[in-house]
Amino acid sequence: MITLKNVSKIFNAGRPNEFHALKNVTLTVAREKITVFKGPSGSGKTTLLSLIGCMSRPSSGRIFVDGRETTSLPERFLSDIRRSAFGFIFQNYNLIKGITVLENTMLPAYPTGRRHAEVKADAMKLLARLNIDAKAGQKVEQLSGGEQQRTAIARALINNPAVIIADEPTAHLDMALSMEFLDIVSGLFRQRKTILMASHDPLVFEAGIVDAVVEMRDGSILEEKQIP
Amino acid sequence: MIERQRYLLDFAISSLTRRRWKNLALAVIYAGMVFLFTSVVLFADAVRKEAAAVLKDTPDMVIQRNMAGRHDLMPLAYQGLIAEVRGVSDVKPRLWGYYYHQAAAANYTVTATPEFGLAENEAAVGSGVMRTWGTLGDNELYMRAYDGTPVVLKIKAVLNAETDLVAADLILITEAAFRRIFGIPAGFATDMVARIRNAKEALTIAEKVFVRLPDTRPVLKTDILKTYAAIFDWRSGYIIVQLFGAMLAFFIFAWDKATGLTGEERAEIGILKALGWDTSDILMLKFWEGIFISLNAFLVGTAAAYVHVFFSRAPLFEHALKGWSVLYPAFRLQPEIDPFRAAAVFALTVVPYSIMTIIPAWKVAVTEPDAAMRNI
Repeated sequence: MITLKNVSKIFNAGRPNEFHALKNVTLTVAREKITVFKGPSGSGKTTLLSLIGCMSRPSSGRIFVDGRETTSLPERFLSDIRRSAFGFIFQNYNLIKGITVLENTMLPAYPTGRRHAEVKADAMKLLARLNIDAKAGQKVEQLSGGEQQRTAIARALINNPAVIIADEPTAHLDMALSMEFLDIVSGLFRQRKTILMASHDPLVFEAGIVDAVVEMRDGSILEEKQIP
Repeated sequence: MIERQRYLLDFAISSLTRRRWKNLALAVIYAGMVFLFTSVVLFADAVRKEAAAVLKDTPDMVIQRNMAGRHDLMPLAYQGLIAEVRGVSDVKPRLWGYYYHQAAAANYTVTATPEFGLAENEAAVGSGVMRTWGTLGDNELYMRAYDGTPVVLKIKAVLNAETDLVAADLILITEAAFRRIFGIPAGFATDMVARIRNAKEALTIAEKVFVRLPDTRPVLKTDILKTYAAIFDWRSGYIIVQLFGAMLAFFIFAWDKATGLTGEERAEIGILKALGWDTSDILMLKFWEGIFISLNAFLVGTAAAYVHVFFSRAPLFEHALKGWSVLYPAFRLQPEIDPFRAAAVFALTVVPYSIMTIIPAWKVAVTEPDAAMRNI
């Protein structure tokens, strides 16, 4: 379970361009469910996912992951949580250019110090599962958008995290690829992963696999809807 | 732990390869800098050692006579007076001087010697004389005596190249030939040399000689060695000062190249952090990158300097370091690297560069991954 209590995030605090991205958000996200955060651009979806994923700290409020408060942890513990508990699929995929699909996939496992052969075998398995193993040796900039996304998904899964966070996953995909992505998400769900997605694409938040939709606007939650 | 370092090292090399032109340019300039700096250090060291080796047979004391503050001829009668000073032995007069040869526009050192079994019309010469005299015909030196009469000397021997540093411009002839060429009257010598039995007493003995012969100036072997060392130190110091500007320029360039992280590099650090890399992993990654560039540049630069100094005779600055007239000794220095000097060059080049590359990465690595990634 992921719980947020009165979480606010202010960018450029005290400056003329001060911006309140999140305002007193209190929320509980269930384990092993698919939760979608929907809302227009600037509504605070990405910031919320970033805070949950320990990629930034809230300006105020507290966040708990499985009962453990993450907001007050030192940076090296946060790195450890990011590495082991979360897998990220960024809007622009954020793959490292100039290295191969396989190397990109293996990147989050480097700090774990696991044996190279073991990590490589796991990465190849994931790439095969996502049907992109044939491109393992290709540099990521040579891939299509869909292939880049599948590489990003494989990378998110390499350390076998319990929670997958995807930010606007269909923003750069056509209808067919978006449906393919939702298929993959459905597969992950069957593996009992908790999935958090931010999207303003109806294809995502109206998908049959979604368990809960949280509607956001101007940094606040408008509505939380559980889908039976 | 080792596996983790291996991953980081692999990724560091991969990062360097991805920005190969930037890093290659940096490494080439870096290696060039190490090359210049190490060349000067190696060269000055080797020449100093060469000089010390050659000068180890220098007499313990040279006694010159002065008149009005200028070097003057020394009466042979002084030989016995000096020999009477307790602790002094083996006092010998020397005849030597400089001969200006117009054809070569160079000064040569001419010394009278009983060695080499020379006849009055024969000479033994340094290799520099053979190279530069210019009008050698039938192995003969054509000279002009003090009174304008011609003197022809047959070259009987060429001196060993190992003594080139001090003997390149040397012409050895008999005493009779010397007096004929320079017009030095019998009963006079240029100066005298002596052995001192106990080196610890050298200063006291020199004082006694001075007291006994107030118009003389005793010069001790230690003074001569010091002068040579000072000349080479001064010359190498002069070049290092000139190189200092180049080094400064290099460090400014390196600072700019190595530390000015591009938006892409900053975003990459953000991505790695977001994927669970710790700040220490990022720092270690950048450390490996810095070490890889600087160590390679150091090794290449040092190896090139070694070849430049010991195998190519340091063409870049032999004129600044070796010569003191138009005659430059052509000799091969004995290959040798002082580990202390190498460590000093290492510390002056590799360490600052490695630190320079880590600081900006650290600045980015301590920011939140979310903020670092927004640089994309």
